[in-house]
Amino acid sequence: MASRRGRETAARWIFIAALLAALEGVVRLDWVDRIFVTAPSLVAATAWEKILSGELPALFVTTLFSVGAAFLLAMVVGLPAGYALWRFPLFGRAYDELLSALFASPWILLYPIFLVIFGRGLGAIIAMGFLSGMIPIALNTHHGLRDVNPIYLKVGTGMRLKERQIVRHILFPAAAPMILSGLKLGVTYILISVIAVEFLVEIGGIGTLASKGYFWFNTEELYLGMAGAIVLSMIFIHLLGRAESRLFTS
Amino acid sequence: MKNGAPILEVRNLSKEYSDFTAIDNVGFEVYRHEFVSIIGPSGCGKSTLLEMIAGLVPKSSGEVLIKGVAVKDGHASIGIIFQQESIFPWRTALENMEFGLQMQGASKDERRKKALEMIELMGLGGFENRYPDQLSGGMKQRVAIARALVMEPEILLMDEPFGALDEQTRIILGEELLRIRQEIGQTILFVTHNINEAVQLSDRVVIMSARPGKVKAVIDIDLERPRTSAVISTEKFGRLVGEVWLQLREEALKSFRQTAR
Amino acid sequence: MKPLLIQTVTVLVFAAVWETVAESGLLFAGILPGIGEILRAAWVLASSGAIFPHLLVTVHEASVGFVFAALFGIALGVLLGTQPFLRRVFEPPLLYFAATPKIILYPIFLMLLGAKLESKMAMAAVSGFFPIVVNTTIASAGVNRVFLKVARSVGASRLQIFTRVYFPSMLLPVAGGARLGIGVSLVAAILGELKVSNAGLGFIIMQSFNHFRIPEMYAGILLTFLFAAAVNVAMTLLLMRCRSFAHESAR
Ligand SMILES: Nc1ncnc2c1ncn2[C@@H]1O[C@H](COP(=O)(O)OP(=O)(O)OP(=O)(O)O)[C@@H](O)[C@H]1O
Ligand SMILES: [Mg+2]
Repeated sequence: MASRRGRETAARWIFIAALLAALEGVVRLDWVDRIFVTAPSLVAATAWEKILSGELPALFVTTLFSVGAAFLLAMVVGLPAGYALWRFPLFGRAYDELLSALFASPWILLYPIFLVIFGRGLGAIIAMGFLSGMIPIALNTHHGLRDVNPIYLKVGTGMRLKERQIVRHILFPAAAPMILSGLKLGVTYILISVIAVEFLVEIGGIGTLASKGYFWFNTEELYLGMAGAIVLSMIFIHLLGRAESRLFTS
Repeated sequence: MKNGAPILEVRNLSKEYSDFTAIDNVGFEVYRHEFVSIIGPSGCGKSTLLEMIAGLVPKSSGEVLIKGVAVKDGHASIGIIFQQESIFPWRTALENMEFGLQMQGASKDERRKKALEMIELMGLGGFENRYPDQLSGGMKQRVAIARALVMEPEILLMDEPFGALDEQTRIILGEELLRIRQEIGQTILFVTHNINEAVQLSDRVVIMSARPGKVKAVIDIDLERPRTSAVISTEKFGRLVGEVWLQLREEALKSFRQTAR
Repeated sequence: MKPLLIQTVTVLVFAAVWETVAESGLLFAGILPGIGEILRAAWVLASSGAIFPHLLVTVHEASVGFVFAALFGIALGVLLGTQPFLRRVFEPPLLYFAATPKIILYPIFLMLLGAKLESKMAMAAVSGFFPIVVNTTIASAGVNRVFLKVARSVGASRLQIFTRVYFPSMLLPVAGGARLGIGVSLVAAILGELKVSNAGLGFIIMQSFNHFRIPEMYAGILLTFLFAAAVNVAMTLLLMRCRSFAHESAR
């Protein structure tokens, strides 16, 4: 069975490599205008240059800083908010609906307001990321606590535990998978909105590179910016997935 | 078997829900080292009764006495195993068994030692570090029983602990339960709606009527002790099962009609 | 009833706080217009008809994009869902890609298709494609094997198996994906407009932002949200119709 897995992975990478090779060939043979498309090797060369000059690492660090700050804020607000929603069920139901409605709306389009209020800078980006991450964290925390199988709590009551013990040793462990998946969802949304706003407004980290490359007709920089943003997101999602499966197959 | 004063006495216990009576004036006793089963049609209030005794559901009227003293909301010497699967999926088998002791503030060594003894008693050796989703249904129920037994309850309430298991596992686990009970002299109040199981395991069977739940009859099971599951093939066993069914049949039909409506 | 009351009160309190802050001018002076001012600006945009050509442009972009997203998404989804090998090879990268910010690809479309409608259509198509392909893959792979066996055991033709088993079992999840897809296509088109455009809802918002016509910017965002909500409600209703249709079509 392991070999079947191996064949699939190989097929996947061969496909990706073939795609890149085709791109390389098409550009090298001058079948397309180099203003529109550039060769992966040229992008890689640009990437190397920008890594040596420190530009690319600085961009990544800026993006990661924004994501990290937004995530921290989103957790600090979202987790207690989710707990409060559970603790006060009447408000929980009311605000759960409001938050869900907000989350289903195109909140990313609010970024001009954040720009106006926080100014054109990292503040606006972090605020935007905070908003997009806080909602799923609060909602998942609420749902996780709310949907804990009551039988687990009954075990605690049956052992005559104190409320504090039940919350700490039964309620939270039981809700943990749901809360963690909320955190994962939160980070994913934060990353998407941070990079999107960086690109749209051309401030901050890796998202700005594609925008600059486009406006200055620097095709290598444009493709490097796109690849960088996409690869960063994928690495992030991959690591989060790994962390999650590590936590739950212990 | 009825030596001395009863450990558990249930007197005139009733439970009213807003629109109907679930338990109506139920009374019985359980003596030390006894194994008493409660049997009744589905929905007659067996779980409600057990949880009232454990103080998990408030009683509408009546009394529960532990060693002659009326208790309001449960008692430290009562252990309970629930009808639904209730072992914690975030703890290993061993950690599940340590749970109660940990909550009481027992030291790590002490609770580990007691839990390991329990692993031995329950025949769970080799499975102590598995998580529940890596255990079979029968193994999970063993863990649930062990988690309650570690606390050394004077009386153990068991609500259809083998209800979700297949017939063969059920019989084997029943036999195991009898062995364990013999070894540690555990007093058990056992709920089931399986007649064979009730007769196989018990010293006495309390038969409940369909909704509202009342005590319809109490039948003494005078099969020899210690017992193995081989008792199932004896003539006396068949006679007792017949006797219980005779009492239950009418109630089961009544309950069937209630739900068919 | 009670949650509704809490929600209403919350919205009113939010509005009141907003209004107080805006009126007092202590915080965010000049960048936080009063609610009355925003509503007035919205009214002007709507009643003068100034917004409608832009709304039309956005709808045009989003719907053309969505049609492409649906065609390609459903086709690829069925392929992946019915070919286990292809699914195992291509689903993981697809899922990874689905969770990246697609707007970053916008410059390619700008270069290839220009700053007009076509580049937003492409944005809408690429963005709406992912929820549709993901849902369709799951739906077509998840068609109950037993149903297929039953159909084959009574000698149903391939066409019959498709129309009587595949179609009714897949309609709902695919429609669910399409509903998500429409929303995503709409947002993607507007995001494209916000970056580079000369018409559309996003263009209105960005122009008022650039010219510091702040109340108009808020009004543009407000109207865009209302429109998105209306589309969402309409799609939900349509999905409910789909449900009964799925059951009827199976007969
Ligand atoms: N909280 C409650 N409110 C109202 N009715 C309840 C409540 N809990 C249980 N009941 C009802 O009380 C009756 C007795 O329930 P109970 O669970 O005790 O029955 P049971 O004998 O254990 O049934 P089973 O054999 O299916 O486990 C049932 O009709 C049930 O629907
Ligand atoms: Mg029950």
